[in-house]
Amino acid sequence: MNEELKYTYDQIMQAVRAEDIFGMPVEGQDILETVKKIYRKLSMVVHPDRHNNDPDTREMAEEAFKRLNEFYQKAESKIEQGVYGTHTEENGSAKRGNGFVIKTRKRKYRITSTIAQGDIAIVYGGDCIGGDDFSGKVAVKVAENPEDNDLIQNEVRILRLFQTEPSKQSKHLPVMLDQFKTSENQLGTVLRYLDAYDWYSVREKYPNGIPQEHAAWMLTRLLSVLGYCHSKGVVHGNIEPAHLMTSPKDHNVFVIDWCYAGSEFKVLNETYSPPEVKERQTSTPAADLYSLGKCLIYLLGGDVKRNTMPYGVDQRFQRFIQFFVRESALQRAQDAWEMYGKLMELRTEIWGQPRFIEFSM
Amino acid sequence: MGGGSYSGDVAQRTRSTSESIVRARSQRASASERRECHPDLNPKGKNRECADSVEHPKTTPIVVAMDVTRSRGEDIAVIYGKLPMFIGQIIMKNYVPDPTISFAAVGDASSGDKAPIQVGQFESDNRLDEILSKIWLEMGGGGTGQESYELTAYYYALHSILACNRRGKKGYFFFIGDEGFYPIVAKDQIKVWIGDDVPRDLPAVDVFRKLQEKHHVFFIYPQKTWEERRADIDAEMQQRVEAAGGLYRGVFSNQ
Repeated sequence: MNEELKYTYDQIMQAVRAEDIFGMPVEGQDILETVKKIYRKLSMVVHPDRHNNDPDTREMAEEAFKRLNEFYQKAESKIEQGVYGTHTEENGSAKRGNGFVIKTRKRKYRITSTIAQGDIAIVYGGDCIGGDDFSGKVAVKVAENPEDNDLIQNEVRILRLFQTEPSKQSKHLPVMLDQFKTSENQLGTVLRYLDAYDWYSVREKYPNGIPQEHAAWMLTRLLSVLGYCHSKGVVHGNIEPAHLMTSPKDHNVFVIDWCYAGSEFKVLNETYSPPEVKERQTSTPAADLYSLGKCLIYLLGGDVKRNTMPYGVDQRFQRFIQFFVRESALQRAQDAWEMYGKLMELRTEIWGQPRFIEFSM
Repeated sequence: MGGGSYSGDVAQRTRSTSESIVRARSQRASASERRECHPDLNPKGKNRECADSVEHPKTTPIVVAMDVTRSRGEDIAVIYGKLPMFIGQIIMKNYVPDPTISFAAVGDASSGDKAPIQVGQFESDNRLDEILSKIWLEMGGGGTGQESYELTAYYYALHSILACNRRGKKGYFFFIGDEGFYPIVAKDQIKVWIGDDVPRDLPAVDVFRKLQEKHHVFFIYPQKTWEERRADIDAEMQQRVEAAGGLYRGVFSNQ
C-alpha cells in the first residue's frame, strides 16, 4: 500500500468536519474552487478504481472515498449557506444539549451523556463542537483515577500503532481523535463514537441467543481483525462481551477497549479469561481466541461455564467454537487467520455461499 | 491445519501468531531438558490402558510415536510444538469418537540411547501437555539408517490394553520418522527396556503384524525430509554421472 493512501486515509478518518479536510477560507480566494481542487486531489488518491490490484486496499480506499464524498457534500452545502469556516458552537451537531465542555489543544467537545462505567474509566458521549453531524459524535474515555493513567496511555499507544498502519481491518477498530488531561491529572481519550451494540446488549435483545448464521459472520470478521492485531504483535488480553460490538446495518463488528493489550496479561475475567491468565503465563494469541470462543458461546445463548450451546446450533459449528475454548493453551486454536480460513470453508459447508442476511436490533 | 485458500477479509497471508507463542512453546520444550527418561514415561513393567468411561464411552485410542533421534533434525521441534493441537483438531473435525492419545518417543536402542522408548499414558485433556513436556528429546541415534521403531511396536502390541478392541474396533497408530526399523526385536532390549522375558529375538515383521491386530498402523514420513534427501541423492548422482563423463543436465525422463 502506498504511503500517500495511508496518509490520506488517516487524514480523512480523523476529520470531524469538512474544514478539517478542505481547510479554512482565505480572503480573496473562491472557497468553492479551493474545496473542489482539494477534493479532486484527494479523490485521485483514494478513488477505489486506482486500487484495483489489491482487493484489501481497494476496500480501504472505498471507505475513505465514501467519507470524503460526505465531507465534500457537507462543504458544498455549508458554502451555499454561507457558514463554511465559521467556528461557532451553533454549528453542526453540537448545538443540541447542555452538558459540560472539554477543551483540548485541538478543539472543544461537549459532553452530553454517560455511555458506560468501566472498571478503570468512565466513557462519556458527546460531540465535537463545530463538528459535522455525521462525523462529530465522540466517546470520551476518562480514567477515574490517575493511577490508571498508564492503562489509558497503553490503549493510546496500541491504537496509534494500528492507526499508523491502516488496513482493511481498521474499520473494526476504534478511531482515536484526541487526548487530554483533566485538572485532576486524569488522562482522557477522545474516540469516534461507534454506532454499534456491545454483546451484552445484543444478548439482551436476543435472550435465547442470536441465530447461528449471524454469529458466524460476526466470528469471521472478528477473526480477521484479531489476525491483523496479532500480526502486529498485539494481544488484546481482555476480550469479553462488553468489548465486542456489532453494528447491524452494515454487518460491522468492533473490538474495543485496548487498555490491557500487550504482551503480558494484566487483567483477569473470571468467565472470559483463559486459565493461563491465572497461572500468569505469557500472553498469546490463543488467549484472545479462548475469550472470543467464550463470547460466541454467550452470544449463541449457550452455557459459558460448560461450553455447551443450544441444540439448534449446527454440531460442526459448535465443535469449531469448542476448539477455541479448550483449557490447554496449546491444545486450542492458535492462529486467528488460520481459523478464519477454516471458518470460511465451514460456513460454505454448512450454509452454502455466504450471503447478506439482515440483522435487526 | 494450514492450506485452504483465504480470501475476502484477510489482508495478508502472514501467520497471525506473534513471537510470544513461539517463546511460550520453546519454554515448554526446554522444561524437558533432563538427561533421562521421565519416570512417568518409562514403560518398563507397565501397561498403557485406554479405557471407556461415562464421559468418554467410545474411546478411540490414537498413538503418536515420534522418532526423536538426531537425524530428524529441526522438524521434530515443529511437530512437537504442534502436537497438543492435534487432539483439539480431531475433536473439532469429529474424525473419530472420544479420541484419546498416547504420545511416545522412539530412539535407537542399538546405538546406546539412554531412553530409546518413552511412552505416555492415554489421555484426552491437559495431561497431554504434561506428557509432552516430560518427553526427553534425546537426539541420539547412530547413523545406521535405522531406529528402534520395532521396540515401540512390540510394547504397544503386547502392553496396550484397548477397550475399543473389545468392541471390535482398532486404534490408530502413527509413527513419525525418517528411517528404517531393525529387522529383529532383540530379546535383550525387550528385557532391559520393557521388562519382558522372551525366549528369543523376534522378527520385527511379526511384531508389526501383531501391532496391526490392535491398531491401524501408519508411518508418516515427513515430506520435507524426503525432498531434501532426494536433492542429496540427485546431487550425488549428478556428481557420479559427470565424473564418469556422462551427461546429467538437460536429460529428462517421462517415467
